[in-house]
Amino acid sequence: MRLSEKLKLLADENVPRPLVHLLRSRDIDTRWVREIERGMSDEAVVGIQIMEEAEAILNKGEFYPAKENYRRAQEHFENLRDFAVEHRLEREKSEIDNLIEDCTANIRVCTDSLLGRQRVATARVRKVDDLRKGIRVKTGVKRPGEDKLSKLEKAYPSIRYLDSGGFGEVYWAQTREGQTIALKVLREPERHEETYFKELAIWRNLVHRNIVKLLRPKYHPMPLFEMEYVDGGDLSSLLKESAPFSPERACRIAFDIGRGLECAHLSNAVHGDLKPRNILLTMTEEVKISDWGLGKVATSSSRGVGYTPGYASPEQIQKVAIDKKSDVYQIGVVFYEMLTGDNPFDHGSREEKDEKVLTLVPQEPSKHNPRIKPLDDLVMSCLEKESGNRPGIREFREALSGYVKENYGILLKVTGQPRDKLGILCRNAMFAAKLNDHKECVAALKDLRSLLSENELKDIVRNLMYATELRQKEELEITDEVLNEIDGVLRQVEYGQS
Amino acid sequence: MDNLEICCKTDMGRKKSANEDSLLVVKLGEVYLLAVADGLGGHAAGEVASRLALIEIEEFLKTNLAEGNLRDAMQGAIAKANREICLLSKENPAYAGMGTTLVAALVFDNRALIANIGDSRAYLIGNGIRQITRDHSLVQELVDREVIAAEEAFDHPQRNIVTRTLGMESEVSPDFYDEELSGRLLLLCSDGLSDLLRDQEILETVVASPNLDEACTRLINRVNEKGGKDNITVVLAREDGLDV
Repeated sequence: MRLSEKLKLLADENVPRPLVHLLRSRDIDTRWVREIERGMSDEAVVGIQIMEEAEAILNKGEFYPAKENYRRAQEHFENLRDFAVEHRLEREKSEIDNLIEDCTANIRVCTDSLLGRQRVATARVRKVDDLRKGIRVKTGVKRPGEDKLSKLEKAYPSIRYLDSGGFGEVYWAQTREGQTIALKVLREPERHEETYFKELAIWRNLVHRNIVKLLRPKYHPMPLFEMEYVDGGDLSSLLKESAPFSPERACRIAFDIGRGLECAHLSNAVHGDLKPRNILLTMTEEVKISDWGLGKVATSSSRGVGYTPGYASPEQIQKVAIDKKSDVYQIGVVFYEMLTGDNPFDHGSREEKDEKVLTLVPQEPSKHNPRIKPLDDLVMSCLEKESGNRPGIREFREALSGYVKENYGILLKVTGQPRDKLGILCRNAMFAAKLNDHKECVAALKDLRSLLSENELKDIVRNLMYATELRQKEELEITDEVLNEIDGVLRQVEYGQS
Repeated sequence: MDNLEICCKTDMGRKKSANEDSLLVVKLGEVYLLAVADGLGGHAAGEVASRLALIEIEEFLKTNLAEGNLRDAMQGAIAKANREICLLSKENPAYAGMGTTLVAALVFDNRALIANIGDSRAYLIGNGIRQITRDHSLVQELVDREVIAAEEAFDHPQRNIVTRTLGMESEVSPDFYDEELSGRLLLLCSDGLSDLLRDQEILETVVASPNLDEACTRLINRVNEKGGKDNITVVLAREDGLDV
């Protein structure tokens, strides 16, 4: 059985937290590195425990059960190795290989003894005690033949490969100061120099909760961006895992994308390449828009240079000037895909996709799910071929929040599990806070508090409630700090982690 | 059925320097497990394979015989044995390519469930003799396809080529036979016996013997008189208190 399957089986049982995170993670590959490390480490310890049992049995002279236990440990490690290979964890893989080899050697000893071919030579049994030293699964994964990485390793105490795209690679890293960050490194700095500075020019002005934060641009040891590390994968993997989403979930994510985009549009920046892969998510599914490499400052002469087939707007394909409405179109495509599980333009060859973008009017989303009938007009208007017919990003966001508010009460009623209720209440408090709706936010927090059993959390929520009420009286906006606190509660509720 | 009277013997033969056959006779609860395995592969690997197969089968059945039916249990035991042999031969160069035949019987309540892989055989001997298992061998295939006649099989130069063994592939499919003993003798043997003695000769030898023990000895002696070119293993069983 593959490790991932096994993890799924374990989901219902009382598994250690890091594994639960793995299970919940949408994109194990790219974002959940530390959870993977811990998960690997835990799994390795499980294997070692089996080996220890085997050793104890072997010492009693029971060769067959000892062999069976070593076999079990070996299979366990083999699953783990597959996992390591799949996620390019080179160093871990070699450590696991050593453990497998030790199991194999011990199986041989057991079998020989079992067959009476020799007395058991205890010196030949590889002891687990010796092995444990080597098993601490370390950070830092090398992909062979990359001196780039070794340069980076000098600059960052801990660094790991996460993902790569057209521009270059993304790494997870820890700075000397202990800050966890992500690095976006250009593959061919000479060729992409212009892109680098263009992205920098746009990105540095965009400071918003729903946009991946640019921390520091650096040109040494190579051109790179130090940016905020987002811990929950990207929308593309989430879609692969569980599309179509419930309307609430799709709306929540689309709403966040809209918020981030609105910030960009206010500073006259156009993203130009909105697609699921560029929409990162935190563990609590808050959106962080990333990759402003194709972005541009909206002027009358903004022409599209590159685009992603299937997600590009009609004007991008026609190579005419693009503006903010191009982003609205793309958010429409992403929204459509979340609601229905399918991007109707993203089928066939590049030419076929382009043709579809230009001519195909997709079915209304409610054809897939009657419940989302009220969203039809909004989605279809975003997908208008003529950019002038699409709503602005603000209109989009407002139409969405109307739908969410209406459905929220129903959602809460049909949810049976208290734990799920807590999550919904947190999310609604968050949603209201983002809308700067103090009253609704306080109401949600109040309900939340009454359902919470944990005292510490109860206190936090109560304080949040008072703070929000105070802000309402003083006519102050709800700040990101409040949102962070609610997010903290949500993490606690859903993952038992702050 | 109260008890089973069982006798078994294995002999190196006259030409071989080691015995790669293994045999197993054990009572698991109410069920008797009888088995013969004939190992293949050089440098003692054959011996490892045949012994390991029987150990694995016994261990598996010890824990899995209680629930479910005998056939499923046997199937599981054989699969487990096969897996272990495959793994061991993969992990140790010295054991690369080893394998073993198997004929095994679970005897319970006057019935025998027999499984076989390769060319070790089960016979039932009463008034006449009947070969229960069908060999997984090249020659048997030739007979089945009517390329050669059944009578030609006995002397066929390629009669030692087996087409199915434990340890050969990751999946193994044994054949099963369900037989009623009804006073008859069950004989399990390696091809060391059946290669040199025709069915009629086996029958004569057994019928002429005063008891099972003597029958085993005489069968082996007779093979050795004919040259004993391979290891010989025989297991004879019948319900207690019956005469030969």
